[in-house]
Amino acid sequence: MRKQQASVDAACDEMALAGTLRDAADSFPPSERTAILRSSFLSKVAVRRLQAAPAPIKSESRKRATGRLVPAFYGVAIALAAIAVITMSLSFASVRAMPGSPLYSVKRTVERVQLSLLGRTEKVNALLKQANKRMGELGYATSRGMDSWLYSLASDAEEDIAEAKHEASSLGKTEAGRAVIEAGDIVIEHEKAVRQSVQSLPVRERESVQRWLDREVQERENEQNNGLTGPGGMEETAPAVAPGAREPEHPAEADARPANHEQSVSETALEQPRIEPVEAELTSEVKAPAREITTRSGDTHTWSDESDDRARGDAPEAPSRSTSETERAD
Amino acid sequence: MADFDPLDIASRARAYDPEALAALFDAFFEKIRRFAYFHTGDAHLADDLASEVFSQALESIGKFTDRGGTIGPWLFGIARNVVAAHFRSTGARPTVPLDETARAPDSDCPEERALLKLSHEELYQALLALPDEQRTIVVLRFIEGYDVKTVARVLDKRPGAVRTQQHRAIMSLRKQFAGKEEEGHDEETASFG
Repeated sequence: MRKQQASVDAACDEMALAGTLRDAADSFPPSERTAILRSSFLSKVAVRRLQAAPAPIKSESRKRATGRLVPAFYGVAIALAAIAVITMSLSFASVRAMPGSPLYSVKRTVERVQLSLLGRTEKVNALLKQANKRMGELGYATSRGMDSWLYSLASDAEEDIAEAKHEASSLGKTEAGRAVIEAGDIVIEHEKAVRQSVQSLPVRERESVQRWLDREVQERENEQNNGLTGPGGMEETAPAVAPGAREPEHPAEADARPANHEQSVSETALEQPRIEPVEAELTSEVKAPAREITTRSGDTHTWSDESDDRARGDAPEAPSRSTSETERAD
Repeated sequence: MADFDPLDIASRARAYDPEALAALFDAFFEKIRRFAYFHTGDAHLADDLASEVFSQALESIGKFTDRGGTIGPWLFGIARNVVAAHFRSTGARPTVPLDETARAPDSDCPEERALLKLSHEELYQALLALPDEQRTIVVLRFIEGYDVKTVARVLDKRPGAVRTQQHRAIMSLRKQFAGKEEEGHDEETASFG
């Protein structure tokens, strides 16, 4: 009887203890970190699953085990698609990138890739457009006082024009002539932008910079007249970019950049990236190189005969030149 | 939980089936965490230890052989080792009797609520005062509801040895609760007097 009583007491103790303990356990609040720890565990599961995946199939048995190659193929395809999407997104996003932007290097890389994919004629045009872009960026950099960019942008524009010239030299006369005209336009446009910027300087600095600029133009004209030029005056046009681009190196201008300088440059260089000749706004000094290019190139190149013919209205084919260019040719 | 089939889950978990392993986590994480808490008295540490238990389980699930719904005890076996390894590495023993996260059960009667809350506190203290093995036996037997054979398998002991340890644990707890009940009764009498 005593033993039975003792076992009953023990059972009661156990039951009472179990009830008390379960109450205590139930009152223990759930973890606030359960969701995080669960995610962490499932990520480990994914990794372990990958590690436990069967080893790559040897080349001998690949043909027989095409079913296993399908997931691998999908993996490669997805990776390639992801790379393509990222590259395209970056390319699109970088189109309007300006110097100093993180995407600017992407833009330049995309430009280089695009150039490498073009034929010779398209490459000449693309190089000239690229030079024009550099001009716009030069204006942007100038307006924001990004002096460290100025030289490299001007040099790049110069290189683009030089390369365009090199590429054009192997083209037919018509294409080469067209390319040279476009190059001349770019130089003229740039000089116009520089002169407009100079107008916004204080009087003392303006005169100083104006003299310096005139001297630069005069030197270039002298070089052209001395017969140092290549076909179409390209070699003179290219250096003409650099002095204008390096204008901040001129002490007078570098020290005296007015507040409204930014606006004047951005209006000319940024808001009009494509060249729209404004004949009425050009000063006599600016007009001179245009006449000179046409006239002198007419002496040395037959393409100018075609342009003259076009200007007279009896050209067999009319390349896409603007009205002002035709007037200039006249 | 109603759909939880230990045999099915175990076989799928061995093949690293994410759904099965997620179900395993959902079914046992809180239990393992509670087990760790009763051994350490620290809810945050219990989270970490429970997470470690599942990491180790994942590493060795391939070697697990199910002998009829034994995946739960297998996890508790890992938990026991993890807790022991924690104490070995830190050199610390559980000294915090109660974590702030312990809640008092809801009750309409204030006196009853105070008494119940106190008894829960005493329960935690009593559990932490038990030797490791007895504490494990108490938790697995009375909180998780495993039978003696299963607990013996977790502890790698004979069922008779488990019963002996269980009896000692109950006696120890009874003694502690009796002392606390007397203290509580004295306090109650003094407050009414």
